[in-house]
Amino acid sequence: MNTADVIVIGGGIHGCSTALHCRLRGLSVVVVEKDHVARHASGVNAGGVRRLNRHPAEIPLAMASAALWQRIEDLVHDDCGYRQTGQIRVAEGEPGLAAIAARRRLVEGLGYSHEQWIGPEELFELVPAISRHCLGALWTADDGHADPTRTTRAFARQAAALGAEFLTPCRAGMPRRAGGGWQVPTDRGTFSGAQVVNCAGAWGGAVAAALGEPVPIEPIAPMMLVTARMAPFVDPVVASFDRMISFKQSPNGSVVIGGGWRSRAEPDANRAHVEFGELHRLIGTTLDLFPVMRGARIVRSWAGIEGAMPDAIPVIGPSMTAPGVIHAFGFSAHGFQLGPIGGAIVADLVESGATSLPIEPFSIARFAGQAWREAS
Amino acid sequence: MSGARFRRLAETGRPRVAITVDGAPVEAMQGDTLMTAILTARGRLRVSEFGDGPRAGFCLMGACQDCWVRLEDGRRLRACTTFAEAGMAILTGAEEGADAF
Amino acid sequence: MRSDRIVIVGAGPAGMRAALVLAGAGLNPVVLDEAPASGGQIYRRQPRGFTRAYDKLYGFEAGRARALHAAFDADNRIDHRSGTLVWNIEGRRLQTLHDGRPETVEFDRLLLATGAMDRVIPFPGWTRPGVYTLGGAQVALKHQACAIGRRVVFFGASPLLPLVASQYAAAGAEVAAVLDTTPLRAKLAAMPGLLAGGKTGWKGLVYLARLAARRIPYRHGITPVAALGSESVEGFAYTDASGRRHEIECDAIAFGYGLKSEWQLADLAGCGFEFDAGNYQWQVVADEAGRSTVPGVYLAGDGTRIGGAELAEIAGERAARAILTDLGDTGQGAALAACARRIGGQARLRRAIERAFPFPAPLARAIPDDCILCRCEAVTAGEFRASIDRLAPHDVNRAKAFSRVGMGRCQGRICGPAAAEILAAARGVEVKEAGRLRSQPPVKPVPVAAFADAAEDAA
Repeated sequence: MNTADVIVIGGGIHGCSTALHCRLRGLSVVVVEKDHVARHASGVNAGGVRRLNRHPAEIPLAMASAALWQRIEDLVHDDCGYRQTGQIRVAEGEPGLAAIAARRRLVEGLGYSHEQWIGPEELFELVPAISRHCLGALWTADDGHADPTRTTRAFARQAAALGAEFLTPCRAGMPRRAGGGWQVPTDRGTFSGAQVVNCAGAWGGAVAAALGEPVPIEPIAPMMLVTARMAPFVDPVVASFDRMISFKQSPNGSVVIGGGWRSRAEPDANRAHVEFGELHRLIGTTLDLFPVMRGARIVRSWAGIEGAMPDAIPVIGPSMTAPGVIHAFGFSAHGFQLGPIGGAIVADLVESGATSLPIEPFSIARFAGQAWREAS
Repeated sequence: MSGARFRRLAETGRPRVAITVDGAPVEAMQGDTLMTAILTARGRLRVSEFGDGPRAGFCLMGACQDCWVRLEDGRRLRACTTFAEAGMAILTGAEEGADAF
Repeated sequence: MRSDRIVIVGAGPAGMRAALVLAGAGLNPVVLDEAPASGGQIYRRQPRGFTRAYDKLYGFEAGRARALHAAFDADNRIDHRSGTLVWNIEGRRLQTLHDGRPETVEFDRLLLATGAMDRVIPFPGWTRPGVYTLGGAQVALKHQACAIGRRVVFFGASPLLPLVASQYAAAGAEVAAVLDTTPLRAKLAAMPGLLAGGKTGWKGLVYLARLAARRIPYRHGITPVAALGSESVEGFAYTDASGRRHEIECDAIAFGYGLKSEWQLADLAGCGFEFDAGNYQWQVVADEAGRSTVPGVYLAGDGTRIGGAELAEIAGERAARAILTDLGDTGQGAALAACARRIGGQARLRRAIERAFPFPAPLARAIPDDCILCRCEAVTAGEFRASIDRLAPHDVNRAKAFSRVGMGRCQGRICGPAAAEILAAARGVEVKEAGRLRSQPPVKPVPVAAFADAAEDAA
């Protein structure tokens, strides 16, 4: 029988980060990944390293994660393609301006100052290529972006270098109790450990359900469009308060356009389809914001499977029904920036059952019984 | 700038079509693709954006995507599958600019 | 049955023949094709205003080309939409650009007759102006009445090699040499099969004889070394079968190693694939009547199995009859069996052609480190090998994510076969173990401006 202190299900960024942080604390770790590291949402996302406009409950975690991003190279021995280009979210009309005002009241009320208002002049100076109809923006100067595949693999590599065992490709079955601990059946035999961590992303709901605590998770496939290389014209990642878009120029010159446009996810078949049904709307927004894009050509598109929760924040914390199981899934298409801290939080929970960061809002208990339906 | 690359072997009695390449007038013929129009007058279509020199197309059947050329009006056209039209102003260099690539 | 929307993608011999059979049964197929006129690559038509005769354009195939063009043009039951790029398939919808405008075309039954392109192996200097594929060189001549240069070297291993070289010579271009990477021994071993294959087999010999009559050297067993020159091609260096280096002065080079199916749309449709050892490439799985593994999606022509124009036309007819059968027409059995017999009758010839022009995989595995592998983004073979050494991808899709090889504008159409060989070599496995590049929409670049105009129209 194979044993480890911690058995992690899922080799996305949170699974790999968990493995790394557990090893840093001397715990033995096995990561069971059905495909390969960073196969789905962790490898195919826009790579945004963003605190700007996060859910209030996520802000403390995002702030702590940002501190880890600052020294990401020390942590994983790779710069992960991380660049602090800033992130900007513009207002294009009165609704956007109103959203900015409300957002500022909220964030400042919570005592944060990372989201700054910038007027049109400053905006046009920061992003000369942006359309002059924009009325201003919120800006987080030291947000940025990184290479998602490279980052996730760097976490895996560093965890492995410190002794974590990665089983890929290797399917995990549902965890079952064994004595005081847990057993996880896999393609490569049964592993037993004191604790199990569910980092299974869109498949995390199935694990939770098997443990008697089903959650209303939805598999989604956020879609990205990629253009042929263009000469550099925009540094920060740009989003809008008025319309769904995220816009980023990669260091190699290609432009990556996304912003929550979803296509069809087939988690059972392990496939995500790209669907262009409403593509012209995204393109319309793109051109409104960046007229220079009229000369661009779309050369590729991709979608990765992710798990979305109905309240758009993840499940992080101990299982309510299965002592020794910790959940960290359902990051709802914005878990990449949280990756570095997510693993540290889970390692805290593994080690001591508690963490200093406020994770109560992410408890799986919020979906227990009728509580969720009534609250919503 | 090197000389013409393509060589016309027949069908030379067609009506002429006036275009410009890098600002200089070029006489193309009706039914010429942009590629033919440019390469019967010049040695290249474009310059690789990756710094590895000039390019003059490759597959001629719309598959390799190596012959997209830039027009002065900002349009980008695949030279092997687009017919030359009077007045087209083609740029074959890699001048900087947001849509230089 | 009559209300089924039948869409054919591709107006080459397979798509045209299929459309004619369906129209003949009283249906109104829609034919979508990127080119301005029907014909595909093999029967590609010259633009309006050109005057060369059919036999000048199509040689031995002139009769077949003329008949197919004439029948297709005359049939007003066929809804031929030229200038239409199909760039995505979502369920039962095709997303297209028609004359540069986005359009959605819905179908109940889809026939993919998407054809093929040249298969290449990069060699030093291959991105220089003056180096083209064999098919590209042929298009320049057939479609534009141009030669790709003043003095041309042809090389590779492809049925197109003697064909295009002799077409160039006949049209008045100077052919410096024709250099075949296949050893003479292998060519001779394939000869009995070629000659037993009827007319098609003999045609190859006629091309060779024509080249010989013009005293154009034809060498076997060569290995390409480099396209020489700085700003453009000034010569070609190769080693002969005994390893001696030669340089030929030329200003253009055409090369290729057989054909490679254009199956990106079949991939997006969800069709199954298999590695075909004979063609030495991934091909779409089709049953004996041209049905794919996806219900309602049919396959014909070189996009499915490399076999040439004659076979493509029969396969087009066969797929059309399979569609009719699936629509409830019970009278297609005999005609389907006849198609199968005709296709089966060419099997030996196909095998002989594959043996006469084998894909020289060792050449791909030995591409020098400083040679550009991906011409879209100028990634060298050395950079690709380094990423394999560092990150140990198990298949070409992972290798692509790590190296960007296959990620450029052509989606790996050009570099894909060679990249797979390099990866297979590094892993010490057969090339099929390196997997197959997954297709992504759009299968060809689509200009953002097209969607902008559509958005404005909708507003």
